[in-house]
Parts: sequence; structure tokens; C-alpha cells
Amino acid sequence: MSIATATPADRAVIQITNLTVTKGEHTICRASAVTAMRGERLGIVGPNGSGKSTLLRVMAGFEPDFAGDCRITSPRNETVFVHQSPFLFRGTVLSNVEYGLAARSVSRSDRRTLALDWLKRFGIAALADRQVNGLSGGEARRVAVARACVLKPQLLLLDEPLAELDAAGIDCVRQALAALPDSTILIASPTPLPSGFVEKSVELPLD
Amino acid sequence: MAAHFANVSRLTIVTALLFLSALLFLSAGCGPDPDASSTPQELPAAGGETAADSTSSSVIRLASTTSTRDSGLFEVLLPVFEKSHNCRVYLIAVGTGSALRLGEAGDVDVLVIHAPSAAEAFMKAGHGIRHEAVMHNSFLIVGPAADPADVVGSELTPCLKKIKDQGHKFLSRGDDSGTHMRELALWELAGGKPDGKEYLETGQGMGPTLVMADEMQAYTLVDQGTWLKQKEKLELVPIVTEGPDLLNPYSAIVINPKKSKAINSKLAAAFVDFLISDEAQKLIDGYKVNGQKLFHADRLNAEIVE
Amino acid sequence: MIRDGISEALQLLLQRDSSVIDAAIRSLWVSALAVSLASLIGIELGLLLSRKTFPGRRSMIVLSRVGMSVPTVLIGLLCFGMLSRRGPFGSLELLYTTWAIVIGEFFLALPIVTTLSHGAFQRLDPRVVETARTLGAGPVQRTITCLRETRLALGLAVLTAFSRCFTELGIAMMVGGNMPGRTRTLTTATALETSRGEFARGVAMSLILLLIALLLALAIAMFDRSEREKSS
Repeated sequence: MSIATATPADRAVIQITNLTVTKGEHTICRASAVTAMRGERLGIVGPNGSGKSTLLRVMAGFEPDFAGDCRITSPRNETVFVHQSPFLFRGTVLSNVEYGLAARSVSRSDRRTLALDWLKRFGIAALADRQVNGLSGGEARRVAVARACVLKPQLLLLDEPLAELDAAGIDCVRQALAALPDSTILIASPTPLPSGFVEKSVELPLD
Repeated sequence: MAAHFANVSRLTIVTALLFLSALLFLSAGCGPDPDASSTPQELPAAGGETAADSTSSSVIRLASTTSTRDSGLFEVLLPVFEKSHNCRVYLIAVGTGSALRLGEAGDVDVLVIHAPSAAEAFMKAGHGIRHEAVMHNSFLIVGPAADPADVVGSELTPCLKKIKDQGHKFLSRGDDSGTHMRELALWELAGGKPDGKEYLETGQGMGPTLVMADEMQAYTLVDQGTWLKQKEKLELVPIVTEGPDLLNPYSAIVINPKKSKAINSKLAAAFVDFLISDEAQKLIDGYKVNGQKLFHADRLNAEIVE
Repeated sequence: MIRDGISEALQLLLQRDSSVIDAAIRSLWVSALAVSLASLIGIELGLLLSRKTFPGRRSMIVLSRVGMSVPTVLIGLLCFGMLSRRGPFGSLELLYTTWAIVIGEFFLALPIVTTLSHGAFQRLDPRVVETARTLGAGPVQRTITCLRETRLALGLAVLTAFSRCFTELGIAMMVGGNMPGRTRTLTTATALETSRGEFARGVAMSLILLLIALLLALAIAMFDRSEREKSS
């Protein structure tokens, strides 16, 4: 029951063994072995209720009560999680994408340049000054993923990032993630992911 | 944008309408003007009788000043009257100004107040049909024990002049009460009230004003009843206690039944009769708080005054 | 009487009756100051109670909820006891000053702001804090984000506290003393006019009070509307 920092020698960013999360009497997540190396793309595939989200939340540090072993080597501020239904802060699209950069004390002008760059990659540069309330589901999801990608984190945890996206949107995400070669990226999905997203997948069975 | 703006003004209008309708509802519930209601049909005893026969025969409403209520005297007098006349007396303790207004509107049946000039004006205007002296006590000037104005034991007028000239704190009720009216009259005798920052109006009853005087180490005018009731808890001391201008007479007024058909004039008259009866006068004269006599009965061994 | 009150209120407003305006301005700034101070502490307290667990947290929540029902007269009495010449803070000589009213109304507003903002933070989407944290926001930025996301509910909490303070009588009367030009507020002036038997004037004062409250509520509604316009 610990999140320990592994020795730098082994290059695994994530090492999970025999992890279970229980809420009340129900085991909501069970993962026997999940390992991800630096720069690796890993799919977490399983039906609804198999515990994909919970597994990602454990890695993000949002579920402190679990049993088993979970080693994450990426530091806390290099681990970014994107919710299954993302929450956008009130304000403009641009201010959302700049949020994490502001937390990292990036200068105002650099923030803007970086954020606009990533909005462009996700094909939503035109939305930069829009208030987030008016966005469609697909647009909001692209903003949320862009908001995470702009930080180039060591570990990126995406919970069903392709839901509500059309073919063009899926393509944008694929290309954007390809631009983060140093990031370890975990993608949870109820169905096998389209080609070009992950190298391998872990299946989570339904209990 | 225009649609949103329309929404705003709709909200404004709805709120304003609610506000206005609440006001109209209130003013409608206020009932007819008391003067307008005194049409000839409802006039004399007959109207009073009808009301008396129905609901309010055994209830009268007595408006009195808070200082009288606070003295506790009514708790002795009212049960005796209620028992002998098999009725209830509702005591409404308000400021003198309020009491007079309640009487004028016919909302009460009888008044017991201590503002002689206001009471005379009230009678002259025809709001009351009977005015009886009941009892009296006195006012006194109280002030801080340290007596910074050095006025203990002096005569009333020089005392007030000294307080004014030396700019000591003086608290005025400032509420048009009987005590306030008297205080203003006393300042007139002393050549006008102070106008500086040390002359402060409290706008409150006698009890709170005494507490304020105590806290602020100020002088003030107080009626004997409230003073005796509260002096144990205060660090104030009597400064001027005697003088003809400090007399504090209490009188009772029976409200003119023309004011409202709800007025129970008969019982109100009976109540005033009771107040000046030997029985009540003895109770008044014998009433003591902390071993101190509070009121002097005016009608003991009944002599009709006025 | 109400009709008289309305016309009297209009007259007082049109003539800019200096004593009424003086009392109205005092009512406004005293409640505004008390509520501002209470909000500074109460909102932080509400956030703390909703985000952290510590011993005594439950009882603090209950205490603050009960605190919303404490009659103003009791607060007035307690403040009087504290500020009285014979009380522990008597030497500050604050009794019968506007500062005393500010202190009393602070304690009136604090539980309201705390309870209502605690409720607002409880209802706040848990994803807000998670998202802020995962994006690397520190405690300060996280708090600012929480405040931004709950600003309407917090605005309502502050407004509720303000209306309570603005219309309360007990504290202003007891520790203020209702002295004209010094501590008289709209409510104590109303009480005085009533005891004087000047009922129409009393109604007029209350109407002016209501008018100001109405204007404030409208201002908040406008603010709410423009916020939503901005976000749609």
C-alpha cells in the first residue's frame, strides 16, 4: 500500500502489482500487473465498470485508499490526469489551456504562444477566445486534452479521450500525442483503440 | 444580447411588481381611517353596547408608558381589577408618543401616561372623554459618582447650567416620551439645551438610557420608578432629587368611544374608577421596590382634583 | 398608515432629509464593513470545513449552523458584556460607537457566510479541485479556482449576510445606542419613530431600507445575468 519512488536505474514509470480498490463492500478495481516504460503508450481496455477510471485515478493520486503495490516514478507535477468527462474552468478556452502553465510560472506571453500552438494542433485555434460554456462535447474534450498536453508531462493519464470525437478529432489527438515522444501516456478505453495510439494494451476484466 | 437584456428588465419588472403588490396588500389590510369610521350610525352607547355584547366585553386594552410597566406596579393592580370585574386587561407598554397615537386611533380603550401638557392637548382635541389624576412621583437628575461637573446637591437650574457650560456629557431620551418632554422643559428653564457634541440623544427607553449614562459616565434625567428599579446595577448616583419642576404626575384617560366601535368604554371607565378607588390608591401608595416607595397616590381619601 | 408611509418616504427622499440620509449611509457602510470582514474569514472557514478533516470539524459545522439562528439581541447582549466599561474589553471604549455595531454585526454575519459558503464548497464539483491539482496548481491557485467556480453561490452568501446585517435592530440598538449623527441607523431610527408614535415616518424609514435592499438585489441579478451572458 505505497507509492514509492523507484530507483532511476529501472526505466519503468509505472509499476503496479496486485492492486485492488474497494469502496464499501465492492471491489471497484483489480489490476494484477501494469507496467509502463518511459515514452511508452499503453491502452487500458475493458468494459464499463471494469475499473479503468479508478486505476488511472490511483496513478493520478486521487485514490489514496488502495491495497497492493503502485510505484510511480514521475513527480506529482509531471503527472497529469484528464477526466472521463473533463471539467473546464469558467472563462475562455485560452485561459483553460494556460491554467497549468500559469501554475508553473510560465511568463504571460510564453503562455499565450504555447497555448495557441497546442490549440492549433487540436484544430481549435479559432475557439481560443470563446467562453467554455458554449462549447460542444467534442470541442470541450479537445480543450481538456490540449490543456494537459501543453504541459508535456512525464506521465499523461487520459480517461476515454476519444469519446464524442469525430474522425477528424481523433486524428488531431493522435497527431498531438505523437508530438510528445518523451511522455508516458496511458489511455483508458472501453473498446480497442484505433491504430497509432498505443503500442500495447492491458485488458481489465469485469469482476 | 437583446434577448438577455429583455430578461433583465422582465426580472426587474416582476420584482418591482411583487414589491408594489405587497405594499398595496398591506395598505388594504390597514382598514378604514379611524376618523372616517365614526359615522353617525356607529355613534354613541348603542355602538359600544353591540361591541360589548359580542367579543370584547371582558377585555380592555391599556396603553401605558414603558416606565410604568417597568416599575411592576401594574402586576399588582391589574389582577385585582381583573378578578373583581371578571375581565382581562391587555397592557401595551409603549412610549408616550406612541400611546397617544394609539389612543387617537382608537386602538386602545384607556391610557395611563405621565405627560401633563400632552394629555391636556389630547383632551382638548376630543380624543378622550375623561381625564383623572392617579398618582405621582418625581424625576431626578442622576450622574457619575465622580461628579465631574461638581453639581451634587445643587439646585436644578444651576445644575443644568453648569453641565451645559462645562460641556459635560448629558444623555437625552430624544424620543418624545413624557420624560423627554419634561427634560426639554427643564432645559428651557436653564436657558436652552446644550447644542454641543456632549448633549447626546439615545432615542431609547428609560432603562437603556440609564445603562448608557452609566457606561458613558453621563448625566441624565430619570423617573423615580425606573431609577429605583435599576440603581443597584448602576454606578450612577442621584445628583438633584428635589424641586417643584421635578414632579412627575401620572394620569388616566378614557378614550372617546367615537373613535372605534371596538372601544369598550364602559369597562375602561370602570378601570379608571378602580384606579382612583381607595383600594387601588392604597395599593399604589403601599407599592415598594427594594423597600422604596415608588409612587404617591393622588386620590387617597378621595378628593376630586380638577 | 402605509399610504402615508409611502408618501412620507418619497418626501424624505426628495427633500434629501439629512438625518435619514445620514442613517442610511451609516447603515450601509457599517453592514458592508462587517460583512466584508466576516466574508474574509467565513469563506476561508467554509473552504477549510469542506476540504480538510480535523478534530472538531463536525461540531464547528453544527455550531456555525446554529449560529445563523442566534437572535441579534443575544449577540447585542454578549457584545455589550464584552465592551462594557466593566467588561474585558471596556478599556477600548468602543461601546456606543459605530465600531461596536461593526463588531456585533461581524458576529451576526460570520456564521451565515461560513455555513452558506461551506454549503457552496460542498456542492462544488470534485473535479474542480482534482483538475486544478493535476494541472499543477498550488494551494493558493487552487483556492482561487474554487472561489471563482463558486462565485455566484458565494455572492449569494455574502448578500444574505448583508441583508441580515443591514436590517438587524438588536445589535445596533444595544451597542450602538441610537445616537443621532453618531450611531443611528435606519433600523434604530425606525424603532425610534415607532416609539414616538410617528408610525408613517417609521414606515417611510422601513421603505427606504427596503428600497436599498431591492436595489442591491437587482444589482446582484444584473451581475448574475451579465456573468451568464459572458459565458454563453
